[in-house]
Amino acid sequence: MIRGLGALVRKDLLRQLKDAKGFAIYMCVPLLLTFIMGISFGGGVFGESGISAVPLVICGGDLPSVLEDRLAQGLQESGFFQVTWADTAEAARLVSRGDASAALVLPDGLLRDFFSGRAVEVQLWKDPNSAVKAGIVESILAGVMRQYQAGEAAYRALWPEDAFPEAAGEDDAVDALFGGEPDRLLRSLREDATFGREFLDRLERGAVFARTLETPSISLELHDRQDWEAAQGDARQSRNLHDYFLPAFAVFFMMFSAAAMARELHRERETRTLARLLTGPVTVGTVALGKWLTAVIMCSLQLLVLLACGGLLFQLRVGSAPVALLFVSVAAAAAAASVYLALGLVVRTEKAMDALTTVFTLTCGMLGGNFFPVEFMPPALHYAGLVTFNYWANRAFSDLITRGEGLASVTPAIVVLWTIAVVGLVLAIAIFTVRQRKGVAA
Amino acid sequence: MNPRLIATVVGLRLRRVAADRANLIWLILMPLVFSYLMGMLMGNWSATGSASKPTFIVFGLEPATEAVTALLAPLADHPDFELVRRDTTATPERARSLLEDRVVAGALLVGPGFADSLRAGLAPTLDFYHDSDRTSSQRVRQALEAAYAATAVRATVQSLVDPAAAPEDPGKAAAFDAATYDSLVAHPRVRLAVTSLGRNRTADLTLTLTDSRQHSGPSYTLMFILMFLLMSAKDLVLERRQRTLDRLRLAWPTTADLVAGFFLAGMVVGLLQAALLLGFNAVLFRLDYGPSPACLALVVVLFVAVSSAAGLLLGTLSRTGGQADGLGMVFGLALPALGGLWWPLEIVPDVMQRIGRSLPTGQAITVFHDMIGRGWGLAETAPMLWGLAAWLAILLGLAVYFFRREIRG
Repeated sequence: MIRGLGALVRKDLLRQLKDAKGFAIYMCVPLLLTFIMGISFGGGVFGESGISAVPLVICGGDLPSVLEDRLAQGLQESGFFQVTWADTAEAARLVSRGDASAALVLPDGLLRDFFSGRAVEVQLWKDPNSAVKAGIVESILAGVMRQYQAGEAAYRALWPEDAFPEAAGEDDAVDALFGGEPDRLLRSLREDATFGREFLDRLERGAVFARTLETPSISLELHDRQDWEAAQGDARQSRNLHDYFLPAFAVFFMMFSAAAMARELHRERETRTLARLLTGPVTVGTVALGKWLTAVIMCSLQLLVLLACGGLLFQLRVGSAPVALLFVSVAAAAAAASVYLALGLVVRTEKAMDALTTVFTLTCGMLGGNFFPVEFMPPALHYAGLVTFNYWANRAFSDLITRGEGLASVTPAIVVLWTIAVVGLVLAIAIFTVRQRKGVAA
Repeated sequence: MNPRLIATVVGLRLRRVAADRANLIWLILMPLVFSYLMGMLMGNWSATGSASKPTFIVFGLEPATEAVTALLAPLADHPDFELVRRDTTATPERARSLLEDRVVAGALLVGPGFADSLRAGLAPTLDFYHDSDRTSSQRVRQALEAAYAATAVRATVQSLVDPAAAPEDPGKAAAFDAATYDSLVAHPRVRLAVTSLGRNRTADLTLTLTDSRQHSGPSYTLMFILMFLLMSAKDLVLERRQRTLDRLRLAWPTTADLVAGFFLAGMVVGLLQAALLLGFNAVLFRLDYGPSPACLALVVVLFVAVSSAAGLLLGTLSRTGGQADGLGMVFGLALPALGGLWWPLEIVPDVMQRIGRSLPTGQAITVFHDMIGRGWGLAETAPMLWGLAAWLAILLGLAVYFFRREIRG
């Protein structure tokens, strides 16, 4: 049996190696897609990385130019925004054309209304096509606004007697102050002792209040998964996006290769070479095992060559646990070979197999995390992904390359992959044997 | 031009596509599966609404303080998540593992000595564990931060209440009017009003580009049209290699007849595919393509024409079926990725946005976005439509040139 198996594998390997172009395509496409992902999200050749600053327009408010400059400068220095001032019509035009992600529209007479206790409505106009960037602006502004609203509510709850000037009939002085005539307010302070004392009391209360809020009596400490993973992994944790994308694409295109090799069985049946083969001293099981072994060798080779190329071209961190990488590659290849062999034997023709494996590969690729990390998916899809073999391969590669872990941490994934491989192979041989007995295999 | 011959070539091609039922997978099934799954995967980009309710778990509620009870009160019946309260305490490791295993979208730990620390004025800390990579987790965080702002400020300013000192000390208050506080937090004087400057929509068509389906529906339609027509380039190679193209030439067609036949055949297949997919998306996922049917029709026709011309050029330049397959796959995946069919272009750097919008895929999806989000029509989308027309002229011109050389050769 061993000699027969060796001959079968040698024959199939030679056939596969003759199709060098097909092999090259499955090598080039993952590298190309990784390159595109890298320059899109991780910077690189163009010297830019990630989401660029959000173009934000500010308009209205009748603010003094000093305040306008300070506001724009403050927002600009945060690094999140690229701020411009414009009039309302221009702001609407920029946002509705998509030239700005959002516009912060300050109401006319903002300072006067604000300090005289009138209702103030700040508007945020969002570009309808900018879900992400306009969403960032909204999120930041809403956070700032919440803090202010709670602070004002607390002040009014503590000192309800501190009515706003409007309510106290002092709006003229405030209007005059923000109308560029501070004299009236200063005269009132000088001439009306009660008003002056109350004014100073308010200033003192305001200062005490602001100081108190600086040290909240309850703290909320936020712990982001990204931060603790980076801290846990120390220098081992990778932020190189290629480290995620190349293994993911390599596994995805390895699935296509495994499908192509399983298809050989149908091709051999249709060209009658399988029937000739079975006249020799080999069993159906040996033939299936031969196909499986060939697929395991070719798919492992594909994965390893791609990872090596990634190491050379994208500085993929493949060197930290080479033995574990080899084990994961072989286990992933074995699982893929078994799954596609079984799938191929479920259907009767090469065409039907093509259709089935295409749907299967694309769906598994999506659910198993070959296009997006599974962490991004909704819970239902995430759990669906766990039953795909490529999920375990992706996870093991991610642990080794992205997190810099070793063989011990990927052993569970390797065990899962080999379990799938053994179960799939036994199933494939069983189906093949039954079909051969029924006379449809060859 | 020989219309009968052109019609024959188109008919042959259509029969060939229809004869292979596996084509239905690429033409219809996979685009819909991708649209649906990728739409679900990307989730709802807006602040509210979700297919499933994630869990926000709070540990250490025994004994619950008034402050924590007040903090959690507005989160109890939240539309975006389910609040689960646990009296038992949990370690940070437990919170992290729950989040890493995606059991919860957020975990809040109330420390064992929280109540005592608060009473003693020691500023106890609430620890919130979240994942900034997950939309559901971000929603929990935003809701918690809103509730925290109200609760923390309320608790903090209690130190300013001193009825005895208040008359003399301007920095002290006689009391804290909880009713005023709650009322002003619920109805603040200073407000932020958020408006999306898109087109006006009717109440039953509320999808905007904040819902990822409005991106994934058109984008996967475009991607699979392009892929199918590029992968069909192999058929032209086979026509040459199997000499069926030579048989066609027995009817003395001009190069223009043959090019028109193959090009129009691709157009018919692509347009049928587009009509079915856009129709299914509209019916199944309630997608709304904007107020300009003319713009929708033109962008679809131009994109299909560009894809058909690209397939024809690829089929003419490829020597073997394998080459056509391989190059078809390379361009069929690279152009959608670069052009913003896989993810919105706004999230990539400016240079990549410019590259994306110069490609036919980027131009077509930008027109779709502008129709859906902004309600634009032909006039406003003209620059992108002209871009598509330019691609069509270039690709078709090259296809005719190389096809003629091939025929003469």
